[in-house]
Amino acid sequence: MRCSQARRLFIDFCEGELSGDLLNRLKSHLDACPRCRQQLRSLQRTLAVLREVEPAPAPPGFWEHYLVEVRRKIDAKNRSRWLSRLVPSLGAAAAAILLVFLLLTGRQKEQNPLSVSWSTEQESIGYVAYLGTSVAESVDVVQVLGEKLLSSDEIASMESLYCPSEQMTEQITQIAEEMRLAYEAYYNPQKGGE
Amino acid sequence: MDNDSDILLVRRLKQGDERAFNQIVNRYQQRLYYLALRMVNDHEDAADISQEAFVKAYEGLSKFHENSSLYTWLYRIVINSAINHQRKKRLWAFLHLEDMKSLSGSPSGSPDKVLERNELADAVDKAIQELPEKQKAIFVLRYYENLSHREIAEIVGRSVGAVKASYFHAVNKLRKALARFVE
Repeated sequence: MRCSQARRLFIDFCEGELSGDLLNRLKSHLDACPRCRQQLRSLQRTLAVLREVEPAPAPPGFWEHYLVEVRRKIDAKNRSRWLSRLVPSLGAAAAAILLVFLLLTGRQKEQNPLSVSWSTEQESIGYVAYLGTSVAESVDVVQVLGEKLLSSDEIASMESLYCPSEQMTEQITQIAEEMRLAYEAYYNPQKGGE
Repeated sequence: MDNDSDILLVRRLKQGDERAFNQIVNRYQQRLYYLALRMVNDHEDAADISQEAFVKAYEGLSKFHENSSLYTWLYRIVINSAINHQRKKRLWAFLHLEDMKSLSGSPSGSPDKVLERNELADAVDKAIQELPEKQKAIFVLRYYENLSHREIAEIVGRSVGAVKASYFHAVNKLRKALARFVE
């Protein structure tokens, strides 16, 4: 056996996967070749060192929150997918909901809505109210609707708008009513969203 | 319930039992995270890659065939994501003329943790990170995950012969890179 042939067998030898005649021929070669013996030792030590070094452990608390984080990412993807489907159909769904919202609320807010910051959910509700009066086809409206106002269940119910059914009007009205209550709660907190 | 086979968990999930997915995550989270960590050598990136793998698995469950094994499917998602991640990172570094050495990453986000790791551990991390991506994947799957050549071939989309050859080259590169620690 030549050195090049022997060295190609080193890994199988280290993993215990050589047997029979091939193993005997390799052993014979190693007995006679100090350079191959040295290289095999070097390989065995390398593999031992690679096994010895453990990866750095994950930070404390990481595993406790792992599943929650996976679930959060799945929910975020679902919302994002829903929004991306909704955007091209604004006229058919989101704008319809906003229209119902406007009909039910029948008012406009007094302050300059564009000065509203995005720091709280309530402020976002105010922003939606403003957008509903003017730029109903803005993508921002959809994002606010999806991310700030609606729960996953509400989003799921809105998804049914893509398969119009007898319950469509009822669903739109229900969601619009919830939006109206949120609007009232923000601008007239004393009335408690009456 | 924890002893359900992978295939049973997949069937339960396909039937709408979300708890089955939680069990899959609990069963494989550590293996996927440490696989990703070996590939990218960065905690944040490994966490993201492994979690995204579960998200992709959840979304792509309908494409999963029961004649495949769940873990090779999950491993393939992680390996492909990690390779793409590293390629993007290299491209980003190249475009921004950053120090290419930073690509070897840090084993954790904390400088204290980095200091704790000794010189040998850093040399091993660096040597593995400097392997070509597919070669690195093959080495990690074989050496640390103890997968067969056939399973690895299925995961990385190469022949068994090509996998064996890549593993051989990877080990020899590591031997040379770590020579001063082992000679």
